[in-house]
Amino acid sequence: MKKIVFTVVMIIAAVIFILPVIATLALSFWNGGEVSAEGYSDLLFNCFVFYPMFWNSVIYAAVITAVQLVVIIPCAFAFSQAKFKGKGLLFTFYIVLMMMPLQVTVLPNYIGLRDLGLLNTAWGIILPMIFSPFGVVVMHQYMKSTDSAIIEATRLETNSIFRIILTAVVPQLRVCIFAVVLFVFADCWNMVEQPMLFLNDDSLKTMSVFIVNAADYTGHVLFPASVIFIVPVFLLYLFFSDSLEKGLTFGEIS
Amino acid sequence: MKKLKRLSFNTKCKLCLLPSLAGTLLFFVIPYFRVLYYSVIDNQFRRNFVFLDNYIETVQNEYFLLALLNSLILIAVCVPVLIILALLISLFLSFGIRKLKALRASFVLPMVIPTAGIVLIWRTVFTDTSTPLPIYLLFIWKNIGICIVLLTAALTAADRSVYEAAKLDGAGSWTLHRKITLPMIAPTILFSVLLSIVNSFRIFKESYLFYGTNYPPDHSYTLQYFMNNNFLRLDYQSLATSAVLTSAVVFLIVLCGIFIQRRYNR
Amino acid sequence: MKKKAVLIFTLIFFAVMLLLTLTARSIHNASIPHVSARRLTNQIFTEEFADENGDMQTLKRYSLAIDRELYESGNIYVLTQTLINGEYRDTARLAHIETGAEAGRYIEVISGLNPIDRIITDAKGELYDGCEVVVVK
Repeated sequence: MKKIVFTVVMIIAAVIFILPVIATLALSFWNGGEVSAEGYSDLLFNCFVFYPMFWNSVIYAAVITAVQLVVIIPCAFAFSQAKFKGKGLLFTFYIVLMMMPLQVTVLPNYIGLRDLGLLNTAWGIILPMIFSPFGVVVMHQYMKSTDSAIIEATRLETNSIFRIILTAVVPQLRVCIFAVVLFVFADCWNMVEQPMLFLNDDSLKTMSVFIVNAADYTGHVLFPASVIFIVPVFLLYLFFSDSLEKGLTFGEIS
Repeated sequence: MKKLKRLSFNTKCKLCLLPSLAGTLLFFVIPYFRVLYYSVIDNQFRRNFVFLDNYIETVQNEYFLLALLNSLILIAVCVPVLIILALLISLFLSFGIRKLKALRASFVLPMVIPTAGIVLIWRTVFTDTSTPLPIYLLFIWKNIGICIVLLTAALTAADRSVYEAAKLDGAGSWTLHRKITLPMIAPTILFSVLLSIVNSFRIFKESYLFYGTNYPPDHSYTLQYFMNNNFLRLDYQSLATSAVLTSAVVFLIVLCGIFIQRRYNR
Repeated sequence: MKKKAVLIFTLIFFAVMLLLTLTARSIHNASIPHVSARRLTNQIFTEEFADENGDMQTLKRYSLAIDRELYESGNIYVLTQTLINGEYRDTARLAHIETGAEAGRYIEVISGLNPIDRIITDAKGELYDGCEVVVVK
């Protein structure tokens, strides 16, 4: 009896949460009071600025995610293995940085990019995001639950630190890497403020900016664009969802 | 190359930290000192040192105080609700009927939905803007996914044998979860809380699109509005000062979190 | 199994997006009128009028001329550039012309057109004011 009530409540909750998504999908096929795919033809065959923005989003998110992995895996590994004074403090600093709201970090980012002359270039979007501390913190938390015996054993075999990371650490971190890829990709995919503040040229901007400014374009492009916008991240989630369930636990913070 | 090989393991590990540290220094730390500098000068061109004048001005600014208060209320109200809701849902998804696991996708999807379309739907549903409720709901709706992913993962990894043993001893399901499950996933809960607080600062985009103005009703005027308006006015001093103050508040929140954890562990 | 399906779907999605990126403009262009356009010429027009003494005088004017055939074929459209969806595209604007004297196959244009305007002379497809067109060389 209790189980049935719970199940019903759960299904209702799930429906409520999914409703806006379904509404987005439904509204993309709704045009002037009738069902039609006109919104899609308005978007795909009349709004050519959409395509560069779509590919910009794909490229930015893919590059940021890939390079971030290359940067944070050694970094998290070092945090768990290296011994030096002030390590705890440094890691606390990463946590504090992770907690900083966007409005606080955007200003230093802007100033840093301005001084390096990277405003209004693709690098202005990519570089600061690569060094966002979220991945390091998550990865380090997960690193605590890895088996250090394997790392010790590999250390006897090889002297190269990259070999150790590739053969002993990465396989153990698989699930965590999936999670980080998903979150970082979704985060990059959804960013709006950075492209709006750091970029001037429309040709460099992202699909998220297109959606925010959808009212400027002719036809009912907002909801069709939203549907296309959802697809890549949703596919990524589907791809990783099984692995994520298999265990993503976190040790204590700091 | 030979030199690199002779380095000790510890040194090599430290070298691995370098790329991340360099980037962080370049884009966050060094420019942050610039921000600090901007916050203690009178303006960009004259560059007179005014010490704490900007801070006193900002702290006395009623809009800043209102914004800070609203942001803290948002955290105080939404984060607990969010975490409890996420915990209940993940508990059910992990210990309930197996077939319902597919429901998880419906909670996770909102995380990745672009806001601009959703806000239009929100506007038609919530016409009453006399309370900040629509924004609170939007926040919970959008951020529950990541918490559920983290918590269900932690629950799945939790040791089932302890759980089964306790069940045989005749513990009720409430006591069971409170005494066994909760402590096991406590670090993940704390991590989710921290993450939710981070995300609560990110709700500006949604709020901005919902109200469609830089000056929303008083109850929804959060820190992000204050900073965004300063950004628009190119008021670097006020912007820098409020950025420094906000980072100080966040810093305190993190310290509290770490302190709570240390105490809890003891 | 599920992963494979997701992977295949992802590939299809990006392949379709790539295909659309490469072909969307030509598909769009195929659906809108193709036109040819050219500038107008100037011609000499003579006008006769009576002066204050009642004598007939002729006045010669060198002014903008439109082909009689073109003028009589229907509405005259001028090629313009309009900002559509963030880029400048060729569109047809309906011109309201006032005509004057006639000379052979030409009719004088008094107002409604400029010497720099490009007039649509030939259109495959229905034109309307503000419609987007493709200019054929």
